[in-house]
Amino acid sequence: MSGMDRQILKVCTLTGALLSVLYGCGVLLFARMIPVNSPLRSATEVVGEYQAHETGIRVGMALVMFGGAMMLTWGAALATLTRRAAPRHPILFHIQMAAAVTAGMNGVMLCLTGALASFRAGEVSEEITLVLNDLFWLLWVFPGATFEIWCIAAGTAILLDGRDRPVFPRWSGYFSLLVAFSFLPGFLGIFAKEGVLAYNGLLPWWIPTVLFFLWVTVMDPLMHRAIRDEAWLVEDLVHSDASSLDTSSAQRAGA
Amino acid sequence: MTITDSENRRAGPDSSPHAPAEAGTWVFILGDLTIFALMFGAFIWSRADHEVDFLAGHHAMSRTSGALMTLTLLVSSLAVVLAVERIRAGVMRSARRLLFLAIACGSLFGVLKAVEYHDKFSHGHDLVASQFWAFYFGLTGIHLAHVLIGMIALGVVASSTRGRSRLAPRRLRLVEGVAVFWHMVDAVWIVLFALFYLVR
Amino acid sequence: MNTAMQRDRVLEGVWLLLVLSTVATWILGDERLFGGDAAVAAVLILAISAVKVWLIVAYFMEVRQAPLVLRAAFLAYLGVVFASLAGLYLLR
Repeated sequence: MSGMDRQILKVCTLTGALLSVLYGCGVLLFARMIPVNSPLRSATEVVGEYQAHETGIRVGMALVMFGGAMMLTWGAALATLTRRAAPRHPILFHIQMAAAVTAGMNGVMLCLTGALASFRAGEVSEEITLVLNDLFWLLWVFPGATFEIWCIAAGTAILLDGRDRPVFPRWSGYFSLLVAFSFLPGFLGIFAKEGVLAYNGLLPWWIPTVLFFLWVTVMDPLMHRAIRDEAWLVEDLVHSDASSLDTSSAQRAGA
Repeated sequence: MTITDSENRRAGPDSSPHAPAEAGTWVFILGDLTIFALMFGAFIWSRADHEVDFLAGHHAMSRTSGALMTLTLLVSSLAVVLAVERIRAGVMRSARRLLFLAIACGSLFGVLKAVEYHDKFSHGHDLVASQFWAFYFGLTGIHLAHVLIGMIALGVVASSTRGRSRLAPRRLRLVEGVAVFWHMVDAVWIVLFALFYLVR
Repeated sequence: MNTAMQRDRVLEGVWLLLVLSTVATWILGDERLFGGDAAVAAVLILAISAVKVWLIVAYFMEVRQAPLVLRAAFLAYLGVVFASLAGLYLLR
């Protein structure tokens, strides 16, 4: 891989940290939407919320939108690096790419919904704003399955790595699988309007959200390390003498 | 890997400390247990805010069914533990029989759960009937998903022992990982049994 | 293979303990047992359950022979979780 390729890969990896910051600032700092409001709130209350933090919400939604787009670049970086871990299973790369796209779309759609709710809050009937607010959070919570698939594909690729010096440490594969598991209860968000199963509840919102961003945060330095390690491997090949060239190329051939 | 080597892995107190499976497995296990712990905590926390609902819910639970489910999983865990011993010793057919026993127990657990769910539904207790039932279906459902995944994993382990008298160290560690996962599922159930069926 | 048989015995013994403690907690779970004072039963049940989980972790998961870090992690986990559960139960 050329130096330029590696630079691009590094930038894409950085977008992981960046998207976390954008999501965080967006919903926490500007929109002030965390902790998420209860689905039980009346339409009037919801409209009031949107009107009270109008600018903050709109700015926040825009930030999240940019963060959503970065799911694509970060996901592509992760897929590229995990492809090296499991080169004989390219489908895992494709699945991750597809999942990254859906994650990106998910991010864009949900903040568009929130933005739209804010756009016409007070001008249209309250029920419309109420439902748009519901849609915003259900988009966050309900499509857990595509994220599960993303994490399973990444985790599987990492764990299939047969090398002595794997691209990613094996525990990160297990961790990815754990994160995948955590998205499972997301769909329960449409079954309840309060408590543990609601879209602001522990199972559908808190656990997957915390774990997803933890996953992005944890994987980022590991991805940087994988990019760096690959650089050493290439340099090793270029600068070594004949005997170590044999072992290195044997290692690469076996990879 | 000779028999003595695999025996040494579980030798007496003078051998150096070692854990089964690989390090990553424990990351998963402790992580999963932490998530479950949050759910247990949320359940007990919620109890104070919904006393009436929780008392009613607890009253509707059958501790005998719960105990049966607990015993079923305990039998399956013993089977898995002994199966791993057999695999380490290279006694594959016996190991497979034990694994099938564990899977059968898992299936029985599934059936008992399904019967219980049906019973609850027919009494009008569904996912949204009250916070108690939301927790009940949510937590036992997630646990059941773990049981199903565990059963599949045990099946894969069983089939991986066919036509072999010895497993490579790497594969053995994966087998141990599946076993540890199964024991975790059993342990989580013990807490669920206490929280839903016993404690009021 | 004597050590192997010994190990099997230990495991079966642990299992028996688990079964017996399950029965014990089943008895304690009887609504009529402690009358109005369900709290006593609850704490006992949680304590026994903690022991049961520890038995599974220590013997079935072989954490007893694991490096200190892992043992400490599980002990910490069990301590925090069961203390919190009992505490939350009693105080709220």
